[in-house]
Amino acid sequence: MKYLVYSLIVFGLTVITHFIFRWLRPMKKVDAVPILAIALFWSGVYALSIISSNSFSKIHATDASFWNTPLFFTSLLLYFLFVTSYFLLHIMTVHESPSIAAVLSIKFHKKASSAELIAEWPDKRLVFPRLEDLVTSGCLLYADGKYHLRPLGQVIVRIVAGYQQLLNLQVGG
Amino acid sequence: MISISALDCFVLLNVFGSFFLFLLVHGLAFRFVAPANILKWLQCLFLTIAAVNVALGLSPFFTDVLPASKYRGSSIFLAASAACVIYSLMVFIYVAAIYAMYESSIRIRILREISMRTPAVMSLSEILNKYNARLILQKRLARLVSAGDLRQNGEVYSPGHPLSVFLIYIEMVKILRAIFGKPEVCN
Repeated sequence: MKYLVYSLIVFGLTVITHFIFRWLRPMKKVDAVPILAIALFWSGVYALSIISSNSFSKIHATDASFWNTPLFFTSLLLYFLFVTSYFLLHIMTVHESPSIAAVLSIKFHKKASSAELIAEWPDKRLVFPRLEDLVTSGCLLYADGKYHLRPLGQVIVRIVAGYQQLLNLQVGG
Repeated sequence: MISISALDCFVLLNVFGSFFLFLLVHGLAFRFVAPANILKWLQCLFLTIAAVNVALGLSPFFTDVLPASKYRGSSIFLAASAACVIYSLMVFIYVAAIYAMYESSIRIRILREISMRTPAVMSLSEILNKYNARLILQKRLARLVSAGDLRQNGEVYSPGHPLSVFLIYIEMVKILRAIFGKPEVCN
């Protein structure tokens, strides 16, 4: 139990550090570098503190109480999965999702017609910002009034096509 | 000397086994699932294998898979709970980071539409003829209705089940948005 509690405490510290960072540097976009730095810092603290403490060597001792349940590697995995999930959730929080927005809008208004939803989510809100983002990120090149696929975009398309073939999926989107 | 305990080993085998089973069934069975029904079947698959995971986690109570004298019942229950949480997180990460990115990413669909042309060039109007806000919303609404998150009565949509995996996820997103603020631009 103590290893699981320790994992949760270190995860809590990771989240608090991220909250403080975002409070000091408010931004509307995900900044991957500080997120990774925070996660790596606390992962390092976690691993070092566990390895350096002599409590680890005692986990196989005869004391098999609930508090000393030997779940060190489970706790370690739990910490990494909690951190990954938290940051994924954070990324999704910053990026607007049409599915989430549709459900929230329908829950708020109690009901909505497809025409109302489509009026709320026109092309300029759903498609245009993403096209701009693809140009900014180097996947597309905008020239002569047309969008040209660049090598980075081709690589992404190939990876996605491989995944599609592997699972025999229909075209997503 | 760092070594792994039998209980730790049991939990890790359980979670990786459950997750592998999830991926296997997902890879084999989802070939035959219509796109509109994917969210519903994803939830069913997740819950079914979660039940298997819990049954395996509690199996030391009924079998000799672990030395009964070495661990207390409360420790086995704790290990089973941890295994279920870890399995759920693994599925969440896979679905959110890989599967959902393929299945619902608008950017990737735009890239694919352009890549299907020779040469790979499209004007804005050509892109919008192939893929536009109406199609994007219709596809998502069909998925949400199929999963039971929304109800459809003709052209009108209303809230569906009060509790579903997707709605739990939305509640978590709402909490984070309350802390970090709402997205300013639609990305």
